[in-house]
Amino acid sequence: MRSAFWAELRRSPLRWWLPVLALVNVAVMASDQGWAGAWPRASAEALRPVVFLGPLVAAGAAWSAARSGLPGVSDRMRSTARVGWMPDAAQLASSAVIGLVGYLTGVAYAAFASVAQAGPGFLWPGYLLLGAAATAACAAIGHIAGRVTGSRFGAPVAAGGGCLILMMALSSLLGLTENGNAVGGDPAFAVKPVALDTRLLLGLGLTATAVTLPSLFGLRAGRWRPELQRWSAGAVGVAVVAAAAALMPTQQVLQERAAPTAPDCTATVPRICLWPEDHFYLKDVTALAVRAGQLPPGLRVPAAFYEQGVKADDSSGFSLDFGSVSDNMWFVASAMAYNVMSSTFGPKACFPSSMSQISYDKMQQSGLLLVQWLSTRIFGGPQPSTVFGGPPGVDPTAIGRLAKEPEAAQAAFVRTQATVQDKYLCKAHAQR
Amino acid sequence: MPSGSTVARYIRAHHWRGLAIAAAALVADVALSVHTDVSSPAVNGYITVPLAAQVPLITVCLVISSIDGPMASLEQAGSTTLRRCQLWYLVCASCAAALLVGATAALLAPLGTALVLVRGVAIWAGMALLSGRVLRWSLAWVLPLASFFPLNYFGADAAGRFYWWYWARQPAGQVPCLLIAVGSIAVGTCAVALTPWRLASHRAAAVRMFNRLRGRRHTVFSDSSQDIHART
Repeated sequence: MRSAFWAELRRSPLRWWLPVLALVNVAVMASDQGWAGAWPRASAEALRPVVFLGPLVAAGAAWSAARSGLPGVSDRMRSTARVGWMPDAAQLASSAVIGLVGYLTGVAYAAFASVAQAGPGFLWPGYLLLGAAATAACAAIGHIAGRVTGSRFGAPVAAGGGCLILMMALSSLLGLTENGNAVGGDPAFAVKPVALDTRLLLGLGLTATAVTLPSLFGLRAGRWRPELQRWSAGAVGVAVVAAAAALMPTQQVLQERAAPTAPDCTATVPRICLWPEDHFYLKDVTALAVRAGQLPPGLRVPAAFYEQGVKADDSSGFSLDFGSVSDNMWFVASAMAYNVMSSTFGPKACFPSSMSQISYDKMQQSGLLLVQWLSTRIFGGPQPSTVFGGPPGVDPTAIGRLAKEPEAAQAAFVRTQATVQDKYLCKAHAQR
Repeated sequence: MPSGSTVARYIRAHHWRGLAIAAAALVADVALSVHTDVSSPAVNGYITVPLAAQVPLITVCLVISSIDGPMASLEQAGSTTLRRCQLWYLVCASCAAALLVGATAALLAPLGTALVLVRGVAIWAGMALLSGRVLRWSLAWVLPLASFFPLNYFGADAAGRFYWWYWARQPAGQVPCLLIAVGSIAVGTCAVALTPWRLASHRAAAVRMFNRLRGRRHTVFSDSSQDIHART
């Protein structure tokens, strides 16, 4: 069995795919390095190429399994002095191993890029197993297609195209993309064990089906080989696939983690607290905290800012899911600016029904100006060009210039805007 | 133009059953996917891609790789009748596939959507022909399937705007994508025209030219008929 596996691996047509698979992986990982340095983010990043990898693996597996349709091969396979599933197992194993090695290239790259900067810990197995399950499932689908049709014409395109549709339409169901999920790789979330088990079972069931059933088709009854076990194993495989497919839509792939007991906090006033997994960002957020402590008087800066999920039952936390470090810092500064606003002027939950539209617009506009200015001050520079959008009706470059003016001018700006805010204060208008 | 019975026999030797099943499946595929957008991983997070973007890809892969068949080695020998059949088959099958996809989409969605799919058929057809010529005809699907990754992953810039070459998302009348389609068809035509025997004779001519420039006597460099068999 082992020598058969090695022979298959050496002779597999998929081996020519391996550089392409590895290249796809590394291209995806290298094109955006914002994840490097935080283990959960790196793990989720390693999952992204699977959407493109799966169809390639399926097409390759179908091509190699369609060998059974070449002249004389099926007779030779039936007359081997080995159990019928063995050739299938060896061949599928070779296809799956090559696909998984391609996938692991990306995983290794993620580990390599993170290990120098990240804190303790390692890649999260949950994300990695999701990717491995999907890759193995694609290899199994390809194998079944190639083995059942025995056609090098239809099988690769059908398997590759079929998996492409599956990946495009169901990638969030398989846990491979963020669509419909909470953000992948955010340390506030982890892969739910039950959801992971379901997807692993799907991969295993498909593999079992691919190994056992194809060798049973086209056999006449009454042969001497004991086939009952293979039939039952195949039936179990099909049942597992059906059960897993039925269970998958009922489960969210990610679940919230409990708040950390020892968050990573800056030693500044105000403090910023991060997940220990995001230790990599501590240096950059310390600079933000220092600048938040130097804002002009008249603004009430909260004592602490928390990353999403660090403080239980707190929805105002910021997240670090925006790619590059500088983009992330801009969004952190922006979230902090909103927190400063709400702690200074109170929450605005009663607007706009309690006042006229004109008053509301004035209040809103001055609030947005303040937020943009606060973000720019805390960020320590104008809005980066890689961040698109922003508060409506606010010119980021003008605010960027304002943030460079002398402290007295900026304090005057804050006083003016604060007057507007106080004039249309939520409570005052609600009482009317 | 080869006679009707010749064409019928040619089609019979080229996966006509599989193609008939595939045609039905593709009509269903167009109908199910033409109104759906899905999110796909991209270099700056996620972009939305029309689910129907895969339809032209699969169509083209099936049509072009069906040139391969049980008679492939006979066809490689290059008989005029078979060669002419092959060319007619390629043109007619590609047009029929484009029509099938385009007409189904046009029935269910605006004409622009249908034309975008037809343009996709044209672009990927050239790619598949190149792949089939370089690797082998039954591997015509390799290049188009592999192209799906860079196309979708790098198709949009940081602001989410689609690049001019991202043909799945550009409107039907957009000129650069039409040029890509024309260029791709041209590349595909060259790939079909550069048969092994022509390549061999071109190579022999190049060698003769080279030798003449070097002032040597002209020698026959390679046996071109053996060359053809080595390539198949």
